Amino acid sequence: MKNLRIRNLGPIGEADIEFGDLTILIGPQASGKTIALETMKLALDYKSIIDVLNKSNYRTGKVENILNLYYGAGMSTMWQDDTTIEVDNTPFTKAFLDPSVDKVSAIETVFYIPAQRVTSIIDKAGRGFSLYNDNDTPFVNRIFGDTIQRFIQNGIGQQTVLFPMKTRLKGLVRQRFDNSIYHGARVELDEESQDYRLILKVGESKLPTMVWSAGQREFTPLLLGVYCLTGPPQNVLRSRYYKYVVIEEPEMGLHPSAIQDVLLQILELMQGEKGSKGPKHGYKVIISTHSPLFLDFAWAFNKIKGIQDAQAKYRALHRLMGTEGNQPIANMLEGVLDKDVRTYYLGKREQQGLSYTKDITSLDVWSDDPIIGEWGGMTSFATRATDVLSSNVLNYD
Amino acid sequence: MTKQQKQKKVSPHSPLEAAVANTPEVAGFFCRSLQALESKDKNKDLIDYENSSKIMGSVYLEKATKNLKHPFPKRWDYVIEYSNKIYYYEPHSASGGNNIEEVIGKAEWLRWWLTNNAPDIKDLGTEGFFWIHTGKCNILPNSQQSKKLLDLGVQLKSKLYMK
Repeated sequence: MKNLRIRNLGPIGEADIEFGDLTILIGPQASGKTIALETMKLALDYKSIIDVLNKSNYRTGKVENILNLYYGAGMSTMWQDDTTIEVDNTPFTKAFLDPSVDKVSAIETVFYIPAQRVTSIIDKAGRGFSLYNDNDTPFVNRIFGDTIQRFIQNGIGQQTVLFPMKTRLKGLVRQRFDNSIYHGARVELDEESQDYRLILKVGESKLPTMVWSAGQREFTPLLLGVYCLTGPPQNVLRSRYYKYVVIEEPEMGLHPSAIQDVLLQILELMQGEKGSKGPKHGYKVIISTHSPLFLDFAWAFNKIKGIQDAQAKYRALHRLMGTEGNQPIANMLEGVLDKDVRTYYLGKREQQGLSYTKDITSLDVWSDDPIIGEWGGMTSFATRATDVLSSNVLNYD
Repeated sequence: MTKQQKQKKVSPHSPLEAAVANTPEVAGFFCRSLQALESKDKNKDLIDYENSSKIMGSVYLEKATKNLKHPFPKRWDYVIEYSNKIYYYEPHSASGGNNIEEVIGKAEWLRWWLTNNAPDIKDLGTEGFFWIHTGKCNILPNSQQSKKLLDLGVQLKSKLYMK
């Protein structure tokens, strides 16, 4: 998939996205970022989605039912007569949502880590698709919980310690997550529980998820998602078919130093080409975010790519990520140096009205267009504060 | 004294000195240690270092080039060599008014000048362009103004520490 085009779908008026190896989507609340990303998955994975719904005995005979089950209850009405969706310039219409789907080609290619991922670990690690008691919850949340459950129950053998886990993550990334998020605590499956309950082991204390820090609670399902995508082949998940990874708000609940570590892990997902030998994943990663840190990265990364001397370029990326001297990370960074990083803004032109996308990949701070120059509002407050302080320089005591 | 020793004595004692000698617009302005700096700009609150013997030399760029006709009106203040590393040093207020535009103008000149009129100095590489703010700083790190400076390669800091 190279591009996605959406017209008149819910809050979205016009969305045109050319995907890179890493695509960053920013914009205000309720501008339609999630709907755009969910629609991308629907257009790519509709066969797999319908297959899951059929297996779970949902009534997929009506397109409206499928849309409500997919986007969440009541959401089917956003797909109107003037709605159009195209992937790589090929229309995706309601006619594709045929319940008599060919199971053989029902392959899931988009691994979607939703913003509301915490629901997948609150009671226990993972949650079966049909165990979500209501049909209000969007498909991407339910299938994520279901995938985590399959991974925990069938993908890790007899292991009960989920973090740190020696066979997962690069050593430096694991160490950094420990330093910035878990601080020596261990994420474990509670052996006394009958139901794959997660605990944080701090010394002799066993802490249930509801008393973890917000950052730990938000990050752990993201970590489990990363486990599903990396490490030994996961036949239980058919992970070899995943090509795209969507991560909504990877920064959720985290301090900027921890967000940097998450970014390092995202680069690890991107490294190399899909299907190449060795631990190279080559995933195309798409994130939605409210953190300026990812834009700082995109800005710096695209400038570093412009450095002509290959060694200097490589050293600069190392320095940017704070990973000098670590050979496994060095190899990994070599695998991302030439990747394509793009940034899009999705927002409204006026207070009211529909959202539109703008390609702000240049992140040109000299641009007169505030959407580009102020990075979609990410730097607006600091910019205004600087103006206010500077213009009052003679008025201070 | 042998012939070899004589040659050593007359050769430039640092790469910056040699590059300055090959740059007509500033030839003759190389000074040992921090002697090119005005005394107020040598304040240890603004510029510091591990070992004074590693300061190879300095050039007052603004003084050397202020009367030359260049496409940019502003001039960057100094270049310093410390332990074979090159630092471009600009002590300047960051409290408000036109400070940002002034330093942006200086950085634009410096980039132009190094590329067009001082390639030997440019080839020495650099640790960076350092705007060291004298007094209060009213520029927030994540502001657009701050990013404009970074886009030109200017780092805004409270002190230049050479090591």
